[in-house]
Amino acid sequence: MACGRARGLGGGVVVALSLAASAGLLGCGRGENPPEGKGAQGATELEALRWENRLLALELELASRGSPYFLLDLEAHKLVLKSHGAILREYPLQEVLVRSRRLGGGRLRLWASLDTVWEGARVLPAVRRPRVIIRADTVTPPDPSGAVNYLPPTPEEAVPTPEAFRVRFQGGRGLLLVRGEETPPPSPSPQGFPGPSVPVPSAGKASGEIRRPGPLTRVSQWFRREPWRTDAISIRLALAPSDLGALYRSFPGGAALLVVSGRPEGRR
Amino acid sequence: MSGEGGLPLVGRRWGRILGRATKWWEAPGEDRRGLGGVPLSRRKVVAGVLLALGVGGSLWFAWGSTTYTPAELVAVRPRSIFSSGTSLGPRSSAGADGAGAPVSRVELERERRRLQAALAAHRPRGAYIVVDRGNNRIFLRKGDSLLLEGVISTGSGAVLQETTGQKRQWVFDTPAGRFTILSERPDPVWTKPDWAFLEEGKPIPTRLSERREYGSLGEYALDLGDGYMIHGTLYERLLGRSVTHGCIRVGREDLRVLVRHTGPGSQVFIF
Repeated sequence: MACGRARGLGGGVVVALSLAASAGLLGCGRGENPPEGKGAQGATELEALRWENRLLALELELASRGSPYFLLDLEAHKLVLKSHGAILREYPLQEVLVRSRRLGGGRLRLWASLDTVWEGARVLPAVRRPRVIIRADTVTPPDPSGAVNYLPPTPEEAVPTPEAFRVRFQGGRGLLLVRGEETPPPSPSPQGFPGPSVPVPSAGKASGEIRRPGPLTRVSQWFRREPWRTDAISIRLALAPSDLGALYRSFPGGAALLVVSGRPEGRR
Repeated sequence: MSGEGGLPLVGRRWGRILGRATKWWEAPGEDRRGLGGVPLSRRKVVAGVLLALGVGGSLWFAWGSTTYTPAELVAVRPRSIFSSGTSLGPRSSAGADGAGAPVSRVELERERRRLQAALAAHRPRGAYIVVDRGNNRIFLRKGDSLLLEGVISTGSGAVLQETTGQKRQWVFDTPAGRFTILSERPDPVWTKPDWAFLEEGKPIPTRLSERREYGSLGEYALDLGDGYMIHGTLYERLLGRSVTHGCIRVGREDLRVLVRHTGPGSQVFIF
């Protein structure tokens, strides 16, 4: 209705038209299908529905790609690695802070970076895993007793958990992942029976102590993280050390990230 | 903390610096000199300090940033972000925003159901296996529930080069991607490929019977195709280390849980 009137006024009122256009879809929606409750509440519901549909459409597009992608829910403090819509790993977040530069359209860029997909993840410093090359003519027959001369390191030994690392995305967007507090192990269920989501204890846990990096290593890590290159939009996430290490060791390079900021109802 | 005269206590060094500055400021014009003996008027000093503050402040503002918590972010976000996301990200083919987008609640709800169904069609039905190569961990999941977390062994990443004959090369990596369990074999027999003999420094046999090895794959093998399998191991002490030729070795108890919950057709995600 309101739309119709605004159009009826014709080309003279350009400002009114532009205002109507900016709020247009919502107003027209109200005219065709009036909400049951108050106007503002109905509008928020429509906003929420539109927001949900938009995120579903974005996730559907990511799921169709076939490669792993991340879903970062700022409000729920959760970073989830997914593929084809299925959860691969969940990383609970202890702290979330979103930072935008003041100049260079900082706020505009911030709004444009939320509820959208960040592309082309690049981990800094990159995880290095040197390959061992074995020449068949240098191989000696194994010890018949089954004794092993060389025991390769566990992932925790080969790539220790860093204090922090960065993930840079295209368009000056980035994540800074830092070491948070160690979370206590989950307490057993009060009934004494494991719940359906309680992990079954594994047969063998990885052994080997995690060594703290020395000062020289930490300085080189600082340089490799390139902290002097500040991102226009940066999200700082604090994770438990075990989660931080696990994420760092297996972060899929080039993965996309869908940043979910929060439902419109949160504004009320 | 305060001194005798009610003034705040400062360090002796800072007190000396403050005293010198006061003396310098109160000195007559000809005695007030800067670095290199250049005469400085009070006006020049004030102008210099103001200029330094201005330049410093501008730089601080330009390079500075604003920080928000998620709650603050939602509170200060403009409404137009929710109502029309035309400037944000890629548009959906479904027209969730922009031209041709559904406008009424009924249409929006219909659209949501359609998108949810399309997304659910991508997800695996029933339990599925997730392999984290970077951490040598295996997970058994069903929907949002985690049924198992275990320690495994994955590909060593080593490269084996044949130096004679065909001069072949093998890279012992566990491949990443989505796989389907093609078959589930109890008490599997391993037919050793050529690289297994080369790696042991033994001649490659010509008879098939000489390639067969019993018991080394544990109680079960879940075939993923292209020679890759999820199977048991005789060497559980090596679990957690990247030692395999591309297969995924699982402990006995964990393997039994996997076999109980999955079967041919189940999905396996390796990342």
